[in-house]
Amino acid sequence: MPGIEFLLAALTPYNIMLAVAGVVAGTMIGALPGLTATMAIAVLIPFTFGMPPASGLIALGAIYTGAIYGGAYSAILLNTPGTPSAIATTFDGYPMAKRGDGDLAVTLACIASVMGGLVGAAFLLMLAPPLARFALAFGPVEYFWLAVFGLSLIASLSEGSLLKGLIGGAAGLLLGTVGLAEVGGDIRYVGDFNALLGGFDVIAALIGLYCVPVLIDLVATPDPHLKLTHQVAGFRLREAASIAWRSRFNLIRSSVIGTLVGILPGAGGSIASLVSYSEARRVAKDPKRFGTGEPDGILATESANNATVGGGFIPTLVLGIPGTPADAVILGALLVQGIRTGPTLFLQQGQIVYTFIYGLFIATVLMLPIGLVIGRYAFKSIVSIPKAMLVPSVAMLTILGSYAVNNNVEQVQQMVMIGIFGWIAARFGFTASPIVLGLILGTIAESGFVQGYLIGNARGQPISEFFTRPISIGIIAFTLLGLAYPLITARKHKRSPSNE
Amino acid sequence: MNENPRRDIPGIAGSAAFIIVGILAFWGARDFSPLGSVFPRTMAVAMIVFAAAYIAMALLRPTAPAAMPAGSPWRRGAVMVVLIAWSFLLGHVGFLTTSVIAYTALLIIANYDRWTPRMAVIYSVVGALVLGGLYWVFHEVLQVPLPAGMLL
Repeated sequence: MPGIEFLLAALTPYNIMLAVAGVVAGTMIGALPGLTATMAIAVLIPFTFGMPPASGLIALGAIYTGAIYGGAYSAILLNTPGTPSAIATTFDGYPMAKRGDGDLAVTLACIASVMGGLVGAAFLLMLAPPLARFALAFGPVEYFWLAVFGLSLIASLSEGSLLKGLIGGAAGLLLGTVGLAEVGGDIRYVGDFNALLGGFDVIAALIGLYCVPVLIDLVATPDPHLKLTHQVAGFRLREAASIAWRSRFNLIRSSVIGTLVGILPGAGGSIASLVSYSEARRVAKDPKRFGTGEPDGILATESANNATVGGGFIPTLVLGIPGTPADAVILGALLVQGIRTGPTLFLQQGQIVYTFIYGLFIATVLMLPIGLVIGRYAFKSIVSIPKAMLVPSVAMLTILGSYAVNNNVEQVQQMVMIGIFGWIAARFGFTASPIVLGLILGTIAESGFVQGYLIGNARGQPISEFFTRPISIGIIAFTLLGLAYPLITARKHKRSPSNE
Repeated sequence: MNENPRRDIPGIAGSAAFIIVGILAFWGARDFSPLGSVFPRTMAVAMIVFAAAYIAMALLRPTAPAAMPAGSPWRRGAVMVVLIAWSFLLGHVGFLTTSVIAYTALLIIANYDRWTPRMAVIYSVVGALVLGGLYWVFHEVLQVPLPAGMLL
């Protein structure tokens, strides 16, 4: 393991100050719906150009990790993921907030984010080169099966009816095909609306599907937005720590999943959190509690999405292939700083790289006090703001957030129309989550499927290409296990009435 | 368990709508290249099959339909109208002007308390601070080029 001298180099007051400022700025930006971690880094990157390379990287890493965590606030308190990585946090975070445990949910998210961030950084520190080679073993077929694995989560997200969930998932996958096809270049379902050439923007769709229905329903009754069942006196840290300790295996498993998914170029925090949520639900004693405000759901998703920070840096630094869009921006900053990424980076510029990795550890640890303080303030604000002020303020954020993605008014219109569609669909019993899942995973599934088919066809084995690669077989097995496990446990419970 | 199950008419109607969308999507894919059409066609067929299966199941085994939410439909409709108008006028009229109007409209729609002069002053000041603050953050700090339109 690299020496203590790098840790000491990272622990200068200047670097610590940068880490604190980066985490605060990242958390605030990530909390605003529509403003992603990538945007936070892109906006703040010019400030790092004048800094020493390691310090600049520490600042960027702190912004990144803070932004991923910040996305949990609006996911928990407003049912609107601040960043796509926090989609799965809404599943249990918002129900917890609705029943009066929003402060506990925010504290759990903070603990999980710190844990996930630390595991990701540890993998980056100790196992970067071999894990980068693992990323290279992932071809289009593996990406296809990874997307299918994510889609299997529809089974658990379908409230009331699995068939309705499947219809929603198919609708989301179909929505994802609108625009210019990634493979083949077909222009699909655009008609005369040129604004749809780029397809439906995932972030605008997310804001629309999750936030607009909440706004529409908020104004319908005078009831308060969130219940407050107790006096907000502290962080509920002891209670949250106790839950996190009981779920330590879930935390570790989700953090490892997050790291591994983060290593895969193009996968990112949203898939990591969905996959880890699916796994946490699969192995849970009572999977039915997931989606109703189960703390394990928050622990799984938040640890996984923050673990992608360290995981994403692995292919970025070792191979020069960014793991996530945010890593791509950071890769640009590295080049500006004169750092050449590649297999020899850890040998030739170890001073900078290891100082940065230790800086990432420091920023992640600092996220605990900073995140708790900001989280408590955010919770108290959302609970105490009168509805008459909350509704227009959140609406303003949705408009600004969807516009700021690409500085495009048409995306605001998309967001509103998709949101109203989501509200109407919910009235008919079709919930938003399967649609979102299909929309997010559709592109990965399609390009993986088509590319895999083309590769297989060139080899004269278009079908077996999908079923014979070792990693593919592993993912298929996990998918089948995930789908069959609830049925098996339900049957076991039926057979032994003592379990009831 | 629902003791008096009824047919899920909203679910059946929604599924029928999805079948129509699926047919249109399948039909719309006829001009795509083979590579570009395989995925949308598969998804369209899947959607049609799932929706048809749901309709059949809902007709054969009645279950409880999704609960209709309580509350004022007029306020809900008003929010939708404001959001649609806001998003479509944003580029033409200007971000600041449309936002002030939409913010005020939503504030009035969402308020259930009796208006008092004190409340009006507080809400106006806080609203101006929120609007101004967000405008400053996005326009000045984050350098997002917010649409100026005709009136700013």
